Amino acid sequence: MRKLVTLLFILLLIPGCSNYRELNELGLIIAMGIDVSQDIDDGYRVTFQLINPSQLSPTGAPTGIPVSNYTVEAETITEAYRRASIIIPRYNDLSHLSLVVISEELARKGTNLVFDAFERGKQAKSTFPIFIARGTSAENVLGVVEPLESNPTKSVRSTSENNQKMYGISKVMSLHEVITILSSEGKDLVLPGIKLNKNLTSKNQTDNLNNIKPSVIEVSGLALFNKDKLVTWYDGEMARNVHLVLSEIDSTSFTIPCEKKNMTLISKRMRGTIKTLLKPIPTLQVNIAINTEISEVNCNKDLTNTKVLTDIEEDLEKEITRQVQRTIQISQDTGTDVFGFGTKLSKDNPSYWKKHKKEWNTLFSKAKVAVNVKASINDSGHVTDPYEPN
Amino acid sequence: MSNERIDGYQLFCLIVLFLFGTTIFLDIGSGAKQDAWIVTLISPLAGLILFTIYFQLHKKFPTLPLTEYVRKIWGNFLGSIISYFYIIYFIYIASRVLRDIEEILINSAYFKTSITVIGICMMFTLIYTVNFGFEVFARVASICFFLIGLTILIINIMFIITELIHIENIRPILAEGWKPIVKELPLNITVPYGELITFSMILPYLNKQTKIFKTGMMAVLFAGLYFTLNILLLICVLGTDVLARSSFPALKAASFIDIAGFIQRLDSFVIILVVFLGFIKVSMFFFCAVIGMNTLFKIKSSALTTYSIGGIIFLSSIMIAPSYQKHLDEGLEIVPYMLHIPLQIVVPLLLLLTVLIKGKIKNVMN
Amino acid sequence: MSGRNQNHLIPLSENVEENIKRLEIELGNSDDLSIRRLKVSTKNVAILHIEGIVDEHSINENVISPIIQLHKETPSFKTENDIADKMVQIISVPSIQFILDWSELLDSILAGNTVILIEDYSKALILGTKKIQSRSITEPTTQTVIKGPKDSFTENISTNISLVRSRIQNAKLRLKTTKVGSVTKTDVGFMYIEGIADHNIVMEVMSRINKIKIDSILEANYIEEAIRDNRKTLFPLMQSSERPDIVAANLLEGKIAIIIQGTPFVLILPVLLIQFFQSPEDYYENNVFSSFLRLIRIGSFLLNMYASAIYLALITHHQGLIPTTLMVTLMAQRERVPFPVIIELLLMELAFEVLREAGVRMPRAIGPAVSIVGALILGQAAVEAGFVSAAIVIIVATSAINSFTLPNTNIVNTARGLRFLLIFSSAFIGFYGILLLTLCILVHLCSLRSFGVPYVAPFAPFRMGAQKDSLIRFPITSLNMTHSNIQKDTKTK
Repeated sequence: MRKLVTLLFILLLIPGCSNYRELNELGLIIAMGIDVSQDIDDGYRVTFQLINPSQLSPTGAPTGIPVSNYTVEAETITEAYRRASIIIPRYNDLSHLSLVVISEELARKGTNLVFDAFERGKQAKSTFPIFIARGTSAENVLGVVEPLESNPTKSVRSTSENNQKMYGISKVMSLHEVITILSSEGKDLVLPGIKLNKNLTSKNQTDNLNNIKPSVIEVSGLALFNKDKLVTWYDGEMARNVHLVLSEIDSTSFTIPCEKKNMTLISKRMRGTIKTLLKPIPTLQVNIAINTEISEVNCNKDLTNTKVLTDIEEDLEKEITRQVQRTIQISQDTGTDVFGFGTKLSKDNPSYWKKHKKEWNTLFSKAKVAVNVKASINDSGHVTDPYEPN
Repeated sequence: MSNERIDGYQLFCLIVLFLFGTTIFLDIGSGAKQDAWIVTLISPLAGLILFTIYFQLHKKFPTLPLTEYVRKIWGNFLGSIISYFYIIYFIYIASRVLRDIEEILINSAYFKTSITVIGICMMFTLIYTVNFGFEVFARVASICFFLIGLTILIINIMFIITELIHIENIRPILAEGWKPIVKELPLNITVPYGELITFSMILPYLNKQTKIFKTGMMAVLFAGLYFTLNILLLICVLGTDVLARSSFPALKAASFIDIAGFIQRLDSFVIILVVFLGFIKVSMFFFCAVIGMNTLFKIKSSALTTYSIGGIIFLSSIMIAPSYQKHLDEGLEIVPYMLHIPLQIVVPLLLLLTVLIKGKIKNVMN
Repeated sequence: MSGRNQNHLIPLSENVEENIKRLEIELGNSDDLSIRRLKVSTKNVAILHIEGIVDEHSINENVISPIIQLHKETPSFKTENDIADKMVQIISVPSIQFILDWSELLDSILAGNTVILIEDYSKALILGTKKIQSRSITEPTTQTVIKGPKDSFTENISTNISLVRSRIQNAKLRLKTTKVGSVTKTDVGFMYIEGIADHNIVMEVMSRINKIKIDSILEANYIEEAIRDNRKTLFPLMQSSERPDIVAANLLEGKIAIIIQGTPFVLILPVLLIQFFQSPEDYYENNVFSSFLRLIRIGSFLLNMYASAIYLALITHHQGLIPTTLMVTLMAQRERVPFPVIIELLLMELAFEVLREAGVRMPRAIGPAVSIVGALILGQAAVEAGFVSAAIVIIVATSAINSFTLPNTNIVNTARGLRFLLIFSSAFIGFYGILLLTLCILVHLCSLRSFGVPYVAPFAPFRMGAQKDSLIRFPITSLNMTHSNIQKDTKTK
């Protein structure tokens, strides 16, 4: 009898008090785009991208677009999220949020504490990546369905991940990494940029799916932040070099001149380390070790000759050194220490850091830079010498 | 409770899991920033001293729990008052730990569930367990030891394979000197090591009296080493800034794990640890309160005591503080100095001194 | 009815006809009572038995014809005692007893013995001619193995005892029999090996069996329910087996076997939880492979219990834990399902239980057909009609298939019961509920004892030595095949 009463008591508690939610009552938010609001001062214009599961059913071909975007303006992110219920028909669930795009306009104004809502919130995870919409609005970037990846969120992620593996301009930066960098001393933030390679030609979204040259997401450079404000962009090789120094690159390629034409080497393994020396003003030292293989040669060279190979290695070292020096130069000019020399210094020499951390930005700009590159060629592919057209 | 059979291994598991308790979810010693691990490395030494005091007292009265020998040493009147305080202390700490569990759950996976439901469910489980007696509980603990060990191992392996560990985060060592470490120490000694006072309520009911001291020492050292490893891991994963700002660093760190976009949100996985460890810790205090109550008021059947103490623990866990911030504040500012230090350190020390002096006097008289 | 009372001996009459009359009245003029009247010298002799439960051939050959022969050869005897003594010499049956008591006579004739009454003689001769009809030894039906002995117990207690004895030819193997059940008077034997089995447990079992007060024993479960330690538990506290090799192996580990007339299932006790995951085949195959299978079985058991509850918790409470791609697939499946997921799950679970029951009741030939129709066609149709989502069918089927890996059916029923409890707790509060219920199950398991032996023995209390044959099996040569789990740490209630 006593047990029965207890059980009844428990059953009475069930309604209302629990997290119980049915799957078909959920609206899964998979991406958020954050723009500057036009109407509200210091407000945001937030675009929520929701999955439309019936379009992604494993049986039966999809008939429409697998996602829908809802745009709301509000003073804060959470306010926008709550206010979105005026147009979103289902309980909007943030637990699967897997992409946040911030417009360049907002980034230049300063992201300030945009990320606080995500960090504080109990619902969203902290592993989703953050991107900057370059020269356009986040709403636009999220508004394109492309044929190969019909889900824009996945498209942004996979394009970026693919680039990270193949070339190294982009690197997926997750929320917690961003917050760690923003809150740490002596390191500034870089965030990958994305844009559309061309504007949509038709108003009808599904037309893009039938276009052989669709408008697609393009990875475009790295945004340099000074504190929370975007200051400039690194493009192409420069962006790649940042990751080279930070040792956060999977694979990349280098093209160097050879007898008025070019040759390309692809890297297999590489390691970048940074050092700070005080003698007595800070000197920044970058060491890069890189293993490559020859992948394409457009000139005639005797690749069986080790002397020639050594020459190529030297050329490569010079080329990389030049590129990295230029990259660091720009970083010094804008006073944004994206390589974390400051953090390194604070570990190696805490007492010096304690005294000078206020003036680090100027110290960093004036610091001497030394770049040492050690390149080696491991093999030259399936052939040794290039064929000679006769 | 008279003839409980607990072997050395079970005692070891019990002490280790009890020390782990909710402590491994909280930021112990984070005031010392990247040197927090030094705090956790030193504090078990103090834990050993405390355990020795408790054990020496136990050796003088091998068949009596703390609340009984207090009366033997300091007389019935004063002793009864002190033991009554101890019972209330156990109940209070039990409800504090229960509140911790509730808050962690609300924060990690049950943000829409009310704290009452979480608490009631846990309390039913606790009452069910306490009714079976300490022997069954000790066995459950020894099984939980495996489950918890396995979970911890899995999570730590995840940290390693996802390359979240940045060893440079622990540098520079001792940049601020020893001052912040010394400042953090007292808090870290009282919780969890001072809470070993609970074992002076339990020890008289164990059948093998021989190995207790050695087992206890090993368990304290083991727990201390694991705390050090744990805090090192948290510093490496989170960095000192995020560590200092998170309410529950362990949950935060686990939430960083992301394996190929497939295995994510392991903070929900951590609730396995929260529930199991929390269960063991609250149970210990619960048992102590029940034993104390039964011996102090000479109650025969403990079922009624169990139900009523369970109810009190549950209710006070909710009413103890209006918000989690307040709850934490009490835990950091008031409880250590008003409760922990007097009841965990001062009273046992005085008791031991009284016993020793009494023994001396007796020797001289003879 | 006075026959029950052993203190008051009711003597037999010295008149044969009077005794026969009385017997006929007691048995209600039962038609299967067979009476053969003979004369030895001048005395009337009657040979009585009940048809069907005796060896009639043996009675004709070894009892009746020697007596007729005796009458021809020896015309006179001095006393009735001489006749009785002579009869003992000439009758060739395995056992002959003299009894004085009326009730004893009644019991032994009902048990299949033959009674000889001699005029003017106060005792009756009881001849052991019992022969109960039974089927021959066949292959086991519930506990099958690929490799290993293929014989199984039958309903006949003496056959069963012989199957065990033939495996353990040792003087220390002890057998004690008794009759249980005030109406059925069923033979119950219990076997153990002196010196290996814990004496305290033997005494305890004996006293518990003697204390049983029920009318009938028709199957092993009657005994099991009457003597187990804890009546409020879903977990089996005794193992029942129809395989002689399992019984023999357990006897050698120091267990006690209770063999009951009328059922091929022999009870083994005390039992540990881990035993339900051990198959006799584990010892007939390579130890690496059988250890792996043992782990598979434990995994299956856990899956069987937890699969539905975990799925439910993920779907309704912890959507964040599901990988996004999988989440989208699941959402797409559930988009048009009209029921809440808890109802959907319970419906499917119940449907499966019904199918299982139907499969058992159906005649052998169409049993499989029912499961095919039920599982394949109904499941497929339900998914296509959009009544249930495919994921639910997969989950329920997985947990069902997992239950078939267990070598012992007792524990499967336990898992079934707990599964439903877990589903409810999971629907209520997700993983937290599952975890708390798991803790309760652990507490319950740790509190259980089977005849004083802790139920989760090699783990809690933990014993290193016993780990060689618990979760995994070490090579047989390194197993010290004894009874370490039994003898230590017993606390008989």
